[in-house]
Amino acid sequence: MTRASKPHESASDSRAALRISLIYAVLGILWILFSDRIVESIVPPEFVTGAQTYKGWAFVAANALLLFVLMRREFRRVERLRAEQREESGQFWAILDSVADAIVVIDEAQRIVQFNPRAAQTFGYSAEEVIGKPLDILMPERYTPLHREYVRAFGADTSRRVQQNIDRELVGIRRDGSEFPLEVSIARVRHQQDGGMRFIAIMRDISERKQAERNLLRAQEELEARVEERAGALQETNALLQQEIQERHAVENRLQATMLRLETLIEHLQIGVLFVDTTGRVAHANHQFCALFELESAPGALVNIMETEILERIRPIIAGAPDLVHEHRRIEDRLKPRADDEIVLVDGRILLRDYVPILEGGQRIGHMWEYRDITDQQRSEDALQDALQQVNTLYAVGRALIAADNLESLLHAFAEPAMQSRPCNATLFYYDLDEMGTPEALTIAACTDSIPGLGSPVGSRYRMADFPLARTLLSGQPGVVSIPDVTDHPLIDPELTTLLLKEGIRATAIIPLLTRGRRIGHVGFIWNTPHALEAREQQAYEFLAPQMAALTESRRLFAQTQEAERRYRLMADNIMDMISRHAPDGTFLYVSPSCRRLLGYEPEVLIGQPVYPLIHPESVDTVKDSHARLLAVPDVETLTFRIRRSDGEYIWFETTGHTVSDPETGVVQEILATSRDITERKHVEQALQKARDELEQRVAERTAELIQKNTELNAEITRRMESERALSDSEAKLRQIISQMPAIVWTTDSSLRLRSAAGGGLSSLRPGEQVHIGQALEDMLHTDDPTHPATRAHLSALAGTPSSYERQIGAFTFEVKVQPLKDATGQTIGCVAVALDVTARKAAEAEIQHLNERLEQRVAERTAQLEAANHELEAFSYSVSHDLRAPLRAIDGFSRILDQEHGAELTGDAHRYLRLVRDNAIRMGQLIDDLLAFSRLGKQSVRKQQVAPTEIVREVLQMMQSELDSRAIEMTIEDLPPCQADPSLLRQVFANLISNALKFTRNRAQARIEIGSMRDNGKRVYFIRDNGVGFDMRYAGKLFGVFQRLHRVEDYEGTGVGLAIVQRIIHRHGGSVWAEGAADQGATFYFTLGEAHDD
Amino acid sequence: MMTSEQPAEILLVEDDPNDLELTLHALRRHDFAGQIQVVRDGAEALDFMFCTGPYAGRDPRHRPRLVLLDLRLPKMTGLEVLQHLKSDERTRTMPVVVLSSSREDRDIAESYRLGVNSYVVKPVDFEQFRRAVQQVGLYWTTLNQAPHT
Repeated sequence: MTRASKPHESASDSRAALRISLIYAVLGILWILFSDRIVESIVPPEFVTGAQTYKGWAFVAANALLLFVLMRREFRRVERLRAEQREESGQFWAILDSVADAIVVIDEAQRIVQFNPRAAQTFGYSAEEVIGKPLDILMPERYTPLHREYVRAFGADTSRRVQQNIDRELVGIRRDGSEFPLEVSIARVRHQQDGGMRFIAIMRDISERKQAERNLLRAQEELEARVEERAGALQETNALLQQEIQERHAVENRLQATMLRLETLIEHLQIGVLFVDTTGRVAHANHQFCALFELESAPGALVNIMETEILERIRPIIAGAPDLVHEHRRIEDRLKPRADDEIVLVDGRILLRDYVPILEGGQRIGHMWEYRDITDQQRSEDALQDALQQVNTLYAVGRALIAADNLESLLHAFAEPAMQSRPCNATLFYYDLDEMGTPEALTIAACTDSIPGLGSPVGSRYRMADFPLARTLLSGQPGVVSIPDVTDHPLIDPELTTLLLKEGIRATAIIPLLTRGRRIGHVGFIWNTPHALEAREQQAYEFLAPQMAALTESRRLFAQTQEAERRYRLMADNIMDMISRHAPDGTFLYVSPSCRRLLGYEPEVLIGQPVYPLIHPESVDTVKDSHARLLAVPDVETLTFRIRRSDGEYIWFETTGHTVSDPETGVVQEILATSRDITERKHVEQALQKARDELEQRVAERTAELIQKNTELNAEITRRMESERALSDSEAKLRQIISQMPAIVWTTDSSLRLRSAAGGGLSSLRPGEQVHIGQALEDMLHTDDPTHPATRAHLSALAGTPSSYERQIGAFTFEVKVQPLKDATGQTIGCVAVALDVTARKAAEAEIQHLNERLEQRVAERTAQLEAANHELEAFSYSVSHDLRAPLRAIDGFSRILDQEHGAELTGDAHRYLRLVRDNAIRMGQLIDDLLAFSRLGKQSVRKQQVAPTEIVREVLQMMQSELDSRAIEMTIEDLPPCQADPSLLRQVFANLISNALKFTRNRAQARIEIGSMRDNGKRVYFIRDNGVGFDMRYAGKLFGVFQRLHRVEDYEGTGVGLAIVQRIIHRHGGSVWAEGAADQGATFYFTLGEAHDD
Repeated sequence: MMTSEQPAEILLVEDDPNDLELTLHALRRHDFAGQIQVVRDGAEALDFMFCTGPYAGRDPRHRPRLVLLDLRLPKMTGLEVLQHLKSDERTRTMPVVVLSSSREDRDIAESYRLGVNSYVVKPVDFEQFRRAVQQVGLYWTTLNQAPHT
């Protein structure tokens, strides 16, 4: 029986009814046709009528019995069918309720009609809450219109009953508002009762899957970050070794390849499912399950097969072939899901197994197995660990290599990765190359001794011909070669095998060392038992070999060039100028010890530091520009800037910069700078001169030494071809040092013939005209004239006495110091001369001289002007004092004589006019006197001493006693604190202010004058207050001006100089004076004195 | 203004005609009886004192009892005249009174340094001026006892 038969039930019911009717009709007709004849034939005619009646009763009874039997049968059948249907439906819903997917059934109006527990769990609603509600509540609003349309379309399309894996991902929304990704499949059924359409949506919360994807992505990102970090560290390592850049790229490429592989491993997680019912038979299995366990049969073929059989079938491919049946039984007893059992298959795949019991009303009706292949995830994590470990190893070894300070420790560091897997003896071979760069001999440069008695002593040298293994190696491609067993390897012939076995060597690995495409040697690892270098180790050594080669080369070259280097450094160290080497970014690579003297820093302190922070902010841009120019177009640049000494003081530096480029690539490697402190030159000429003398002396000494050593060096260079490059570098540096010194150094033989010359000064002789330098030098020597100072100085040096002379060549002035040049035995063999270009210094001296002269002249002129002005002022003052008075006296005198002697002849008005004439003359005289007194104050010196102002006020008041006595004055005098002042000037101040107060209170019936002091802003302020006529504050600014008056002369006499004098005295004391007042409200005058000695 | 018959008792060295007249007025009003010799500049003053130039014929034995000397003089200043007089043996003991408008400290100090006998500032007020001139004239010509030469 299937669910499909149900729609036919109503048809079957009507057929049954028809059948019953038909039987009834047939029986009726038969009865009608035959019952009368039977009655007539067997019943006597007299009884026929009665018999007819009985016949009718019999017919009704028979039919009633027949109908009862038939109907009962039909009703029973229908009842049975219905019961079956009910049972089936209950099972259907039980499955719905127990499946791991959320199932939501909706009707055509898209209202929820069914909601299984998983759906309730997934969406957070209970079934009761949602049933009857629109489906929209289960999805975010933005999806609603789209989804409705979709369901409608699906409903209209009758060709499909099931729509699975909707091609876009849906998003559900939980009761708490959170959203989650959904996977949905939809089935359509017609409801058997109402005939309406139902849509069954089976949904799965794929958050976890998404989460897993995200986790993997995050693991990926973490890997990237960590790889990034390590790559950064590697970069730091490689910065120390320019040659290793390419190898670093190789590592990065490998890391990138690993990352790529990981990316490809990330796929969406497929789950294999096996559904088993309570009878232990498989109800469902999917493709993925078959694929995971390599079952060739289709999933459908597994249905109804016993689970135990399937477990037995897959058992062989599970690692360790566990008793799955037993194990499963044990798990099956549980009613709770169980997750994340790990199963490892024999082929290495790892599966994660989830157990999900299917429950209905607490009763288990089956269970489901979910298998997920997590192999790739696991593997990628392992690969990540491996990659990181490899990077760590390489990083550590790289650091150790760089840290190694000799070949021995270098080799130890290099052998470390191989030693970790099995102790071996490592040997570093170094090749002697012929002119073609082909190795012709090899030397054991270093050797580790982990396995005693194996290998050869350090320093042993073999011809290539005598070293068949190396010869063999040289014939092949350069690369790491591992020979796990010398008795069985294509590279080793039987003869060599014998040889190696005799040496005790059973296995070996060879790492060729190459720099710039040349084989410079190799490192050999040897074991006394068979042993293979693992692929990973080989890979590591492929990476480390170029570093090792470069370091070996540099250690060797370093050792060989140390002596020459030491000499140059010694020379550089002892030159007065600061010589420094900088990385292209300005970092100090080397600083000569002169920096101690010039800047006050220890050279070690500066090395590794950037130069810019030391440079004065105003100079930084200049220096940076210069560096940029140098890096762009290598050349020589000289610039002047300020630099900070350790004591914080800035001094002037004149620096000549020069780039040192890689001879092959032309890339600028460093900037070589010669710096000198020109502050000295500018400010302390004598000290400069002395410093220069010392410098010259030292340069001469060092240069002589240098020339001698240069000769030795040349011999060494010839002897050692392999160190040629390093030496030429050093020599270039030396030449640059000399060529940057603003000097010319030359040597002569004992006949004063020029032997050699060098130095930056050469270019200033004849810039750009090399051919004339010889001539210029001859000019400089001037040896053809025995009386010439140049010749005399050289001859003097030949005789053993250093001498010097100055020489003008064109626009340049050179100061030449000549010293005897001695050979190793102390015999004088010529002269060594150092000519310093002192043009700039001479020019500076001349300039200073000129400036000094001009200054003196200007001072003299200015003094004369000032004297003249002073003189004029004095003459003026004198004239005022003398000449202005004479006419006044004449006016007064003659008018008085006129009045007295000729008074009788004059009218009354004439007498008055004469008096006015005289009054004006007298007043004019007073003005002159006051003005002179005022002007004298400007010249008079202030002699401050401790004074008691109270005493001074008392003295002043005593002088005014007569006026005080004649008027009604209330005088209040506070005790004034002592102060520092010139007593006579302070007396003048009080006298003027008190007399002012007296004058302007004259019209007051009761004058009040108060003299006191107070503190204002920490300053001692003295004041004189009166209740006189006061003044309008608008004119306060005019109070203290000379000849400024605020009242009419007729009302208050005076010249308007008194307060000007007060102000001048107060200012001379460093104090200030001001007044407050209002018209007719009195006035207060305040003053302070210089505060220096105030309490 | 000068009379050769009577030997002068006061030599007045003054170039300003106003001051000259006021001074003479003041002296006369006091009934000063003595002869007043007036010279108008420093050079003439020295000529008179040392009997040179226009005064070559003068009897050097007749010496005035007082020299009233202005400081602001043409040709030769009063201070220079003072210096000559005080540095010459013949005239060193002669009383010399400076009669000047100047109140300048340096004039006063310099005059005393050169050996002036008195320094009188001419006041603007004529009354004061007259009193000063009269008192000076009286003091030096009558009260003061000059050394005998």
